[in-house]
Amino acid sequence: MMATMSLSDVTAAASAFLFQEAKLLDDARIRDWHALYTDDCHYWVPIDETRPATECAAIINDNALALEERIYHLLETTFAAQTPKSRTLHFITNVFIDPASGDGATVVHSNQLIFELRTGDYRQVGLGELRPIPTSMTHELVRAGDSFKIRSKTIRIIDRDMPQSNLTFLL
Amino acid sequence: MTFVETHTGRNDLPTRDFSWMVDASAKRFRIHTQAYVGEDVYKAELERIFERTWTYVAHESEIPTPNEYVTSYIGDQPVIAVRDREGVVRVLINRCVHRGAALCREAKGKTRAFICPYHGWSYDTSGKLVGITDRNIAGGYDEDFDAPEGLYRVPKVDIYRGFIFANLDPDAGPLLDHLGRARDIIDLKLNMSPVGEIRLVSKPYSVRYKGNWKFQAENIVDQYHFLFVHSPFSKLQTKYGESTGDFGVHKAGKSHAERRNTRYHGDTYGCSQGHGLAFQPESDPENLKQGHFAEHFARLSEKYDEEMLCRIGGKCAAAIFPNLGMIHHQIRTWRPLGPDLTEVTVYPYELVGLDDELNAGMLRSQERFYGPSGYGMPDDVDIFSQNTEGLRGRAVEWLILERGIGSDVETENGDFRGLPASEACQRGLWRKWASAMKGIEQ
Repeated sequence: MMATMSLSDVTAAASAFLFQEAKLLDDARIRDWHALYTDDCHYWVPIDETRPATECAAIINDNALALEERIYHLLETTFAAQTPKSRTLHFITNVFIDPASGDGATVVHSNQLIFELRTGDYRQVGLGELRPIPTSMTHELVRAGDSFKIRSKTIRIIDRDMPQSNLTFLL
Repeated sequence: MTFVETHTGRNDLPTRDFSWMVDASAKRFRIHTQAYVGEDVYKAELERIFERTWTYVAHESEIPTPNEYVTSYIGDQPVIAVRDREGVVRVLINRCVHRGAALCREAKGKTRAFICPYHGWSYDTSGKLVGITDRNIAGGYDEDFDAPEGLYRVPKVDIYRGFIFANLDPDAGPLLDHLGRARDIIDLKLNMSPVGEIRLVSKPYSVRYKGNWKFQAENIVDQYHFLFVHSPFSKLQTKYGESTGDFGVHKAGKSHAERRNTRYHGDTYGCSQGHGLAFQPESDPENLKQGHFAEHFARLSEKYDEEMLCRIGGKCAAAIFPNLGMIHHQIRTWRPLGPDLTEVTVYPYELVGLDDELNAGMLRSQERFYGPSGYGMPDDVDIFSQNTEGLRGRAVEWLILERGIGSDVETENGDFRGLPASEACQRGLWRKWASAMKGIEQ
């Protein structure tokens, strides 16, 4: 099916899909967000994407089961770093289909600016700060019916090798 | 041998006595709020603690060959830890002695010379001044110019099993005296390697939190908080076990009582040098014959007796005064940036000689708990902000550190051994803090 679509059609379809994913995150529809991922997915937020996982720790390096655990942690436990919970807005731009995309998967590069905020009693130390988090992203999308599923997602935070604060919400 | 010879002492602050902020007696151990929040306390700490104590600056595996360097800090003073051309490890103040510019802007690198970007003065990697640009031209320096010999060499540098420590106090006693019983933790951690060595390979995690540095120093050896702050993690352990990459490092237990029994065994120490140490040896040697590390322990058992094997194969953690933590398979440092701002850096290490698969597994385990998206450390850090918020309530003056005080036993070398559920570790830190912060009233 992809082969029959023009590049601009694929770009439009992929963009719409990324916007849909972002909306689910911003609306805190976490289970629906999780349903966008394949059963063999990889969700990766590296500190250094040039080095293999065998020798360098990542901020997140989730296979499908670990991602399931992450969802469980967010939805079924109460923990300090998300009490109160984060609110987010994701802004996605520069969507670009990798020309090396094969028939099996569409590789989509984009930039993303996340604004994150924990309110609660916003006057307290550690709360009430509106934080901008600029990232680039690479999605590997596979066709699922008339939409996509995410086989892998890599998020490169611009200051990934510098001190990070609380990143316990979904990026 | 420090190259820059003049030391007037005029940087020094008035010597106010802050030791009253630790109210300690047989049954009482309370810390005044100001000890965590005071700007004057913080400045005095830099001078009386960080500049007069052996502080950890780097690990030898970061600079394995001549002319390799990393940048680091002693308190808030920038330093370069470098292996010079002859292979000697030096710790130099990262400051051109001419007009003060920092020499190294990269966190690590390899160079034959440090060249100041401001006026081009150059130094070899031992710190020696080797070139002054346009030295003798008209308007340059006179023949009898009193040129400094080189960069300021931190007067005391010593290495224990690869851990590079430095001390700005030229009269400091030996490093081994400062480490004292904390050597046991370093030894136990490193002896997990068949050749007794670690290597810093991974990029570190780093986080800044809005709170005092002593929150981190207290917390890394605090068994008490684990059962509360980290109970959500225990819930994950119960549901997912080791399937998502924990390698059995963080043992859980199904009930609070079971988890309590896991956390609360072994000994804790509050050391006279300010260290807090927690030893949790494996209570059943049979456990070392199962799981991912079974083969590894079988090999280690040729080298160590069963008791030592249980100590190596169990858990232990340390807050080595003032800025070094040891827990899991990581070196942790904390750097005060103000009374209410602290930077923590977690360096996962590899055990040299361990199977690659096990070293990689340990990285996954660290990601799961310690990273900024992990299920443990972000909660600790959030609590530290909450501490800072709460301490704004100055109407309450004192914090309570009396847990288990009645069961502390003073050992022959002046350390206090406590029960694992106690706050013996934290009391060790504060006893040392009080003696360092006494000052000399003039």
